[in-house]
Amino acid sequence: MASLDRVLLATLWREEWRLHARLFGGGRFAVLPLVVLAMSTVGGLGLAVVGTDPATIERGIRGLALLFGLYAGTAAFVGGDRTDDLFDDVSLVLSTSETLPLDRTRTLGLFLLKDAAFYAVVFVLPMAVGTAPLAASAAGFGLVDGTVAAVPAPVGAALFAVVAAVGLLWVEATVLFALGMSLTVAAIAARTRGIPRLGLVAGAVALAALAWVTGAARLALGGGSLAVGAAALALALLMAAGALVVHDPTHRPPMRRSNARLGALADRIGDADGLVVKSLLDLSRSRGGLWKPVVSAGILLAVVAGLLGLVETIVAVRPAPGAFFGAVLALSAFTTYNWLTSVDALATYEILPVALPAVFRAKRRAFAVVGIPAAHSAYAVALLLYPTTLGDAALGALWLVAASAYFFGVTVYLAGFDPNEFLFDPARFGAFGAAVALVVVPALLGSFLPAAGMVPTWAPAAAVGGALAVGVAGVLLAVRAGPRWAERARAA
Amino acid sequence: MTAIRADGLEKRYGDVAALDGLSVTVEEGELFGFLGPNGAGKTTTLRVLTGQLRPDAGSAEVLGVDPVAEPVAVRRRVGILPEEGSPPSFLTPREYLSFVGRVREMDPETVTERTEAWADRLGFSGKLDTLATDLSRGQGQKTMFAAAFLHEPDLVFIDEPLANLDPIVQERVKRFLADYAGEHTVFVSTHNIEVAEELCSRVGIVADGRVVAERETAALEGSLLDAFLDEVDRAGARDLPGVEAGDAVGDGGGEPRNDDDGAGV
Repeated sequence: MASLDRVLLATLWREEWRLHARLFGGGRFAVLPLVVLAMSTVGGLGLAVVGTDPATIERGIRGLALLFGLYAGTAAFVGGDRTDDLFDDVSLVLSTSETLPLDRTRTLGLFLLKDAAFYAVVFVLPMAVGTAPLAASAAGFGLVDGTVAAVPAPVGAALFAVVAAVGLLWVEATVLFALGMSLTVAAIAARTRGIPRLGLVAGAVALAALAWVTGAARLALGGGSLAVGAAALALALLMAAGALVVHDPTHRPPMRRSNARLGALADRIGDADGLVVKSLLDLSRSRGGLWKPVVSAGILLAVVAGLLGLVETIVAVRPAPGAFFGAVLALSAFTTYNWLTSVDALATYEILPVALPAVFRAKRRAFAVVGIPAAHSAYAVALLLYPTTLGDAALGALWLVAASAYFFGVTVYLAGFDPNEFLFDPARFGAFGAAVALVVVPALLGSFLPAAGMVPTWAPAAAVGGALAVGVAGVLLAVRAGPRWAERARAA
Repeated sequence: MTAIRADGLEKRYGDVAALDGLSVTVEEGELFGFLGPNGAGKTTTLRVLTGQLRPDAGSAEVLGVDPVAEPVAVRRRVGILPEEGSPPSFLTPREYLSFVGRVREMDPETVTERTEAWADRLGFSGKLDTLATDLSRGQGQKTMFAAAFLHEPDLVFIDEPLANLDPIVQERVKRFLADYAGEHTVFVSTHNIEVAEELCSRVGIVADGRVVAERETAALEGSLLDAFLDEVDRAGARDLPGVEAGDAVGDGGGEPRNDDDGAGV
């Protein structure tokens, strides 16, 4: 690699690190790989304990890496609304490359290479290393079944096998991460040549279907095949190279116009200061519009449905669908709140005579308008797929509202106006995970009681009471979040 | 009557003292320039005076209201034009100004009239229904300018008033600000010496987080550039205003000068 490329790559890497370190509390960001490692380890061991095949767990890691790559392809998580000009916004080096004697395509290529390397080390590596206990168990160390003293002989060869297994998984997951990233980048590059978004979506669906039908997806996620790995890598490189050639840096999306609607809408819903309508209009006019919360809830439904199938396979018991889906689909509150704040900033309100708690209150109302219906639409689909009793359906609907309020409250309280941030802030991410577990785990356990024939007479009342308590806790957290973040903003 | 009074303001960001005992007084009807090099503490002062930021020490009063105790009350009385331009929103300028009018509890008809007037004055009538995210930086700045003056406040805080504006609009804005001051108070934060000298009746020179000198522009014996450099040097400011002063010199604002440390203009 030429020395100029090395300098560029090192500078881009430093920018990336500083971006995250600045956003997520400086040195705390350095702990994130350890958090990912801990989650991967605990998750892997937990699944193994309930009888999941280690190969399935590894497939899950590869699948996660692919999905993560697809997301990372939007260039350092700037989000879909800025994908048209994303390459100009996330890096000073990249955005100023046209003012320097640098080849833009080459610089962009180095930017993507840096992204792939950065996330391969910071995220994918700890995900892979988290499977080390499983690999150790397979090598005869007996860590999973509790016989800690079982050490295979020769121990050196066994250790090598563990390192090789983890290393191979890392390489495979990294290749899939790069594939996902290059697919997204290629789609973005195609957009700059005027290919309509609908065409890209259709192409992506066709590609996914083709990969599924031909078995390519299973082969790629299955791992262990040099030929498949090489093909995936070649495809990733091809897509990335194609994207670099196709990407038109001069492309700018057309200007969008709109008739004034804020005043009329605000009057109609009695939103005196217009804060709620502003939030809803911002969301509805962003890419994906009001469908975004619905799609997010739909994706969550697909994941939960898959999880339900897995659970049924393992324990041969189906939980009560209403209670099960009601508790888990409420997690869509996090993504909905994210959509509601992604094109907003506290700075907008700091120059106006409006108290920040009022802004948070407006977000709460906007969430009630779009988030609760979105979650319930997914819930309705779930009940169509998994019919249940009226009582369970009603209980699930109640829990969905209550837990949505709770997850919304937790998110707002912990993250303020920047819910995306705690994906990268170990402390807040940990707190969020604990708060989620506090409600989801008991709710899920409760959903298994009917199938196990263990429904005490007081259980329905407890479920309703629990839902109310959870909802109230959520509302209290959301109410408290306003003054908390207003205070922080002024003390910054 | 005093419009702004700040006394001994302090604000630290870790080891850096953004404000280091800053004191300043602005009388009603003044067009006051808050002039200083980058990093001198101008924006921090503006944010403290408008209740966006709480100082570590010191006190302030804006139109008789304490911005620390009553930030919303202060913002109700004043207009604020931040240095950052367009609002991060999918609203159109017309909708944004309607939104600002609602927050300020203004009569909708007045908002509509003033929106049209400001769009005409600043030349963005054709962009009133374009989403803010698709506006150029200059058009965004014009929207924010209109928002700051929409309620015709008694006092306006402006951070870099002419940034991103084309020369024709710059001239219009200068004339408007000169007219607006007198019956109202205008606080202009800038690092542009030419702007301060041309616009302001009085200038406070800020360096290293404190006001190191104040000058009546009409009573200056030399150029404001010389006064500025002398005071900033005397204060041992952390960033010498090479580029800004150089710009002013290039426009005929004063004589070039060399400093011993080579950071002259």
